[in-house]
Amino acid sequence: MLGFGAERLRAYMNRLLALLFHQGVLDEQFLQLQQLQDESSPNFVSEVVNIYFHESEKLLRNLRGLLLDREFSDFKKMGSHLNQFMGSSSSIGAQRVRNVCVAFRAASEQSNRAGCMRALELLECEYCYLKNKLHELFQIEQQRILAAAVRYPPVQHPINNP
Amino acid sequence: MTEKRQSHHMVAVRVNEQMGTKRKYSIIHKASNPRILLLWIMLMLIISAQIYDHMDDEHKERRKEVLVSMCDQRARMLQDQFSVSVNHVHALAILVSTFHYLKHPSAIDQQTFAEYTARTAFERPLMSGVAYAERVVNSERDEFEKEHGWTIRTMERETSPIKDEYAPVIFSQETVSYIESLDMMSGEEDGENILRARATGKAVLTSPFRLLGSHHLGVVLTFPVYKSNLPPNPTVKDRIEATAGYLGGAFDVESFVENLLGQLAGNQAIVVTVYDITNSSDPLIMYGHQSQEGDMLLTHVSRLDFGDPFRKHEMMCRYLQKAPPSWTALTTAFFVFVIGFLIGYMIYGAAIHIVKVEDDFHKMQELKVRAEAADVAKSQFLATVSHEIRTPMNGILGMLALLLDTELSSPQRDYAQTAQACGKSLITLINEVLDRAKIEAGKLELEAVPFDLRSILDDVLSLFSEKSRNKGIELAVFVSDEVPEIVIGDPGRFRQVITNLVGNSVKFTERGHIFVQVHLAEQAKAVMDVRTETCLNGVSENIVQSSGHQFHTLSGCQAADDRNSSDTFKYLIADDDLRYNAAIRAMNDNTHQNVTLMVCVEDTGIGIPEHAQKRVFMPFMQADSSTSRNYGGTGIGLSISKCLVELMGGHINFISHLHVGSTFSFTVDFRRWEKNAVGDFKKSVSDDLPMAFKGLKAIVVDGKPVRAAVTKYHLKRLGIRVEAVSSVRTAISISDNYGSLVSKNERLPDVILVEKDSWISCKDDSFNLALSDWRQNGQSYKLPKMILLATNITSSELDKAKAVDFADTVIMKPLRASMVAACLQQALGMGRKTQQNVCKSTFLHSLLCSKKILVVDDNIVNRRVAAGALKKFGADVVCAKSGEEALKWLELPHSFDACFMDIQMPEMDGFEATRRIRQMESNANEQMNGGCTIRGTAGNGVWHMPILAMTADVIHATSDKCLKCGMDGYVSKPFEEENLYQAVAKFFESKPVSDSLQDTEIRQTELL
Repeated sequence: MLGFGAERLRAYMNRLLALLFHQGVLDEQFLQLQQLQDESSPNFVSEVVNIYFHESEKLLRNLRGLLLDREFSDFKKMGSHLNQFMGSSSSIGAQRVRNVCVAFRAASEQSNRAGCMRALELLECEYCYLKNKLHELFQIEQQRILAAAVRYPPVQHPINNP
Repeated sequence: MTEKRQSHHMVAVRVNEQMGTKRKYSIIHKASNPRILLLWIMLMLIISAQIYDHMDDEHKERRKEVLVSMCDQRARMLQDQFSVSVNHVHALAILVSTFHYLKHPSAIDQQTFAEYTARTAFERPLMSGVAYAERVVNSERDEFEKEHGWTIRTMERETSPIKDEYAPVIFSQETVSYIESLDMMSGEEDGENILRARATGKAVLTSPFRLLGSHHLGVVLTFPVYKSNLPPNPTVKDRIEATAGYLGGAFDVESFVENLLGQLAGNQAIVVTVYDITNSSDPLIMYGHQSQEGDMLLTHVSRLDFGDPFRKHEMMCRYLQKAPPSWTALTTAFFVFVIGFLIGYMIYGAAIHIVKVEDDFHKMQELKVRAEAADVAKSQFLATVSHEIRTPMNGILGMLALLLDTELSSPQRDYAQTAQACGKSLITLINEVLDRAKIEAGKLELEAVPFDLRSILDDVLSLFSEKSRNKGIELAVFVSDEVPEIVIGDPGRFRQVITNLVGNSVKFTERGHIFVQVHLAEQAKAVMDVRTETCLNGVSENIVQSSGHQFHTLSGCQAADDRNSSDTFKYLIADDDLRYNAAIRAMNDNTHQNVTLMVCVEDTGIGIPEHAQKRVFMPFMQADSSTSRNYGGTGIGLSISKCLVELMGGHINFISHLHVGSTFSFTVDFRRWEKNAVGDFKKSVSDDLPMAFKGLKAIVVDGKPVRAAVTKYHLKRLGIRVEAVSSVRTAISISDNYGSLVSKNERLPDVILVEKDSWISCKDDSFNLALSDWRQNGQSYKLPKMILLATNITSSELDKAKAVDFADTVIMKPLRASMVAACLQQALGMGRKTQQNVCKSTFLHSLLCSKKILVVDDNIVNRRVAAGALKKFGADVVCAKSGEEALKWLELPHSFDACFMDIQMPEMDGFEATRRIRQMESNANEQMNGGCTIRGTAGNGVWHMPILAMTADVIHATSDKCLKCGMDGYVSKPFEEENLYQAVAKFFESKPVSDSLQDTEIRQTELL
């Protein structure tokens, strides 16, 4: 991977992003997030996303704990957890996770425990996928930055050469 | 949902209405009942029976009247005849009295009497004979017998016994000579008669009896004959004493009546009976039979007066035959019945039909309601589907935005921008699909907003540029100079129509060109008129032209509507007079503020077959079934276009020839944009074409005048002065001329644009030679840039182009002003400047720079993102993770300039927090009403910090609630630059302009 040029890595990254967009995993909000990253805050995206991961895992743990409890009845608390989850997901543009949250919240509003269980499983699955993909993305990003630091002679395009 | 309920409600209302109508038709429903028909028939039967009865009665009445009149007539005649005879007998009596008793000797003897009576018998047609009997007292009998020589005999022809007096017949008519010498007093009836006659002195009648001779029924009439004149008012005694004799006559009533009736025969067969009813309990028949023959039901009795007051007679008449049935009554009644029956049946039939139709109508109405429901479902489906399409499209657009943020070369940028524009168009198209339902429901409303026509056309062109380039078709647009830059109308619909027409053309065209022209309708019409005139005058020229190898169209291919060929085009673009006229007309038009445009879309595609041309504008109809297989599409586009054009007050029509092409043209009405109000708005409406090229000069080298005109049009829009020449050589010579004229301050062309065809056509090296030659000569001054224009170009051609010094740029067609501008910028080495976007973000930067802002959100991720976004624009951000914390931060006095507040937070939500902040502020304001200057406010001595809500869902209700709680605005949660800018600009506008902002303005003016 290190052998790839910065441009190729960039292209690969774009392809991966395009895939995520196509699958609906991410939406434009992620682009907005990326735009906020500049020289003053070079790791803004990864920073935010890591906070998101941290928070989300905590929330997921809480949700699972709530649902596994035998005498569980606190759907209100679950709703507030889900609101949190939904808000942070929409902030980073994790569209599919957010959509599952919406479904989850609907199930919890109806006090449908079985539906909540299903939704939780789906949510964990989606979250896992998102996490893997974003990790992959950041890895490539880091490699790209590394590659960009290495100076190769610029590739000359035949058209540019009269 | 509410809509649905509403529609249900509507349906219910409609059903109620139907009930109402049903009630109205209930009579008809009743009429359709067969029982009613039966009742009607019975009624008609009764009526006709009554009519029959009535007519029959009338008939009978008439019959009776006839009988009465006939009977009376007969009775009168009988009576008259009778009285005539009686009178004559009376006369005879007087004769006898006169000549037998007053004369001495008697002038009458038997012979005289017989002769006289025989000769006057016609006077007494009813009498069988008359005789005169003399009164002989018993004392005179002997003398009398002696005198006459015979003895008095009784009726039985025997010698009369001795009585007080006798009445022997002395004179008799021959017909009754057998009664001579018979004593009349001896006959019962005769005797009685005689006594009565002499007592009364009048004619008296016997009751009917069988007469002696004939054995017919008859009566005897007896008159008394007096010897001397009677005293006036004689008593009975006087009369008896004066009596000399009796004149009698026998009426043969039977033959008399028979005779009389014979005179009247032939009228009606009636039975006549005459009775003597002197003894009313035992009427005696004088004539006729007692038999019961004839019509016993109807009889009439007439009284007869034969002059004898003692005796009473009457005549009874009746019809011989029974009354025949009355045929007229029968037929009338029958016809009345038949007519009534038919009328009843017709009403019944009609009612049944009406009921059936009504039922069908209700069924249809129900079906209609269902169909409407289906239509609603279809619209919902459309809405859902297009929404589903929109979601992935947002992803595509997002990626394109990402791509545009990277460093791209000029063509790459253009491609990416094109892709983005196309994506946006696609989304608008999806919205337009939604509108289609509206069109069908007739609910479409046209906008009236100002827009730049030319940029719309450019957008449409860019939508199809990729396709046309792949197919190798020339796609071009030309807008006449007379067309105003900005018009008021519905840009979306206008674009939809053009997109549809161009899309069709692209779909069905494999070679040649697609050419979109926009002219003023008056102008186009005027040219058409001129053109037709020339056509009429010079038909031969036209033929020569069409048989020629090349056509004067955009690409040289033949077009369906030759009105659009170069000749006309030349009129349109070059004729100064015409332009002048058009301008004048436009001036006139100014008064009523309307401008009618004529848009033509001309292609050289497969054309539409003659038989299919009629149904082109019908929805879902394509030229033939194979069309959709070969080219796809639903065939609904043209019908929508037609609707839209008609909505916009225009007409659409087309000319098409198979295998030649089609030309669709339509007119639209727009309003003029007020020139004096142009101001800032113009900038926002039209896409800003860079004005950096203003004053440049260019030469276009193109063999085809139409194509050259299109190129010229685009360059003109950039403010470049253009000259078109037909070949490279001319171009060079012109440039040379300029070279020599440099001293006269004539400007050298900055750019030379060469059409690929023109370049290829001069195959010889003359081009190269000329160029290099020119180069050497022109050492002294700046050389014009060479730009190649091409629809499609192969890589070998590209290399070749590079080789002959088209290194500068190749502009790929279709031309668009913005694209040409981008290419020229690159070629002329002008710095690429991202203008507006940069401006806006720098402006935002200037607004937020070094402002202290509090972000309140319980969600750490959201907090972080919001903080990041605000920091990017230079703001100093402090975060608070709950409402309470925010309140702590905001304890007065504080140094924050603004607060972004999340609404949904646990414990204390955004509304509550805002309310408390506002309370704190108002308390502080009351306390410090004095007049200290306070930092961090607008400077008018009042605490009021702008609080902006951050919401995930920007629904109107939410925004209203925000404002109610004392918030100043809202931004949608994932921050968007545009949105943020709009919200923030409201609060920081009044602040003094910072240096950076001034910088931006300066930069902007530099660009202009």
